[in-house]
Amino acid sequence: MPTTLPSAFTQIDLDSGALAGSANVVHRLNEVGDWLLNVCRKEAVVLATIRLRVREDGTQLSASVDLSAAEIAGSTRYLGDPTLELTVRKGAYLRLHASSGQAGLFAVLRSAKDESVVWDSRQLVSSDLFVFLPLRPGHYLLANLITPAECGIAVLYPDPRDSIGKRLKNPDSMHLKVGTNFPVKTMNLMPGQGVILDTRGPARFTFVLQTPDNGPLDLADWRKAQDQKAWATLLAKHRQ
Amino acid sequence: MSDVMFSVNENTFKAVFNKLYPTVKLPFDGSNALGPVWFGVEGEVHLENAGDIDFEDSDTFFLSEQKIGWDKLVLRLGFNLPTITVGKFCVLRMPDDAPILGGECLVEFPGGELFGGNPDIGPIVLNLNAIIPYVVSEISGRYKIGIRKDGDYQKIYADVQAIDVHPISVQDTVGKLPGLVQAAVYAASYQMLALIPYTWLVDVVLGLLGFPTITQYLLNLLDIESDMEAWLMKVLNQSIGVDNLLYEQIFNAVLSKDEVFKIDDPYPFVPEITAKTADYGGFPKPVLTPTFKIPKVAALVENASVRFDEDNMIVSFDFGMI
Repeated sequence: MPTTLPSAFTQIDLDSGALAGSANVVHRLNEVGDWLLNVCRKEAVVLATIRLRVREDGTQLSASVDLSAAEIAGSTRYLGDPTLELTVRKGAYLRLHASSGQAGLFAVLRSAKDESVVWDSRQLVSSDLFVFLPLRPGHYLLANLITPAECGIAVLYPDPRDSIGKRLKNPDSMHLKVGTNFPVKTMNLMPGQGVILDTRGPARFTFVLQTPDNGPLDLADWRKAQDQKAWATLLAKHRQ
Repeated sequence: MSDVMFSVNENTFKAVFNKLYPTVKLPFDGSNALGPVWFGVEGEVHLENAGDIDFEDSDTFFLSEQKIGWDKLVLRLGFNLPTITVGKFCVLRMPDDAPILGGECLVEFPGGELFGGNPDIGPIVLNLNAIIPYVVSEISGRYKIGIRKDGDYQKIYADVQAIDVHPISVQDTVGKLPGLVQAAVYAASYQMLALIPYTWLVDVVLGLLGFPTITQYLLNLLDIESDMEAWLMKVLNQSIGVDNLLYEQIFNAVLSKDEVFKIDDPYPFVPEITAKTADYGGFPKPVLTPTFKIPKVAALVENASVRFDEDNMIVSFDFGMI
């Protein structure tokens, strides 16, 4: 049966403060204690709560939370009941993402003791990571809305004529340290080349398509000719 | 020496066999998955005349070149495309010299997966009815002859011992097969495009797969390397194993066949006769019973046997008293 295309392939514009598609945020849990992670879509509307225990002797060095799965689980719980409980080691990394939906979700980390806010995924802090996967070819604007800073990114069209007989490999991810400004003004990426933005200050990143690149105009004719050639070769063998 | 002995020669036996053994339509179906491609078949065959029958020593005969007639042949294809993971990479890795988990990935970006269905494409139907006149298949078999009492008869049966379904041969002399295969590949292409509805994503996926077009990728999955007749024969004979499917149907069909010959038992010499009394003499007065019955004359069939002797089937039996 046909499968539904995952949102990582369909969500083009990305926002570190409204997670959807391939947008991921990684935050390090440096303080021992009990914490509540609120999953939200709008200000002051908590959709689900996850209880996090950070311990010196915890065994888990990382944890992954799917905010959209938590939202679905939260819809059947009493408000405030945790949908998930996680225990991790001090210094563990928390990866947040949203595997479905396109509206965008964010998370707020609070102290379980007094519910004071200690971290909000809408404003990344130093050493947080914003990780995403550009796929759709085109020209994008990568921006930090807080500093503000901008970087132009071109996701190159994978012209099949450049790779005849070759099998492309997933390209190595691009790792950038981002302070007040981006280290480069422009850069080129291959579709499926991951980007890791390592923040060195407050940040909210957006990655927005400016101009789509639909590939060379003569590509459709080239494809048609390739197919005709393949069929002609087979038919010639059939007639022999 | 038996009381009665008669022989039937090979030609007569073959004529009788060919009148009795061709079967009505035998439906069959089956499927098999071979790597990323699933094949299914649905067909209907009947047995036609035997090409040759050879009497062997003792009580068996060998039948060869018995044609299988095709009434229906439909092939179904499904593609379970290999899952493609795009953009899976390690975000944070422990330093190689860390005391624990040195070099291990702590945070992994899972990327996105395509083609997780089972099957992703299909079923695509290849209606091969247009080429069934060019599908050549035949069987050979060894049968054992025997005679058994059944009701008021001694019946001579040909009991199947072994059947060999020969590999199917396709001789597409009119060249209809390429069109059918092309139509199927186009149908599969449309279904694949529905899974990846963006042209740019198609090119990303094809780049990762190493093929310039979807058509060429599907032809590669189908393993159509040489001509299409050879491909179809490989699919039917090896991938699906049609010979095994046919074997079962044909074996059961010939197993249920009636006798080849039968002999009355008791064997009648003279039937019962109703005679007119007047026909038997000049009676002075009218007789009270104008008719009377002369009972039938018959004998039991005993020590019945059947065997082959060179080119003849010899049937012999004795008469016994009723």
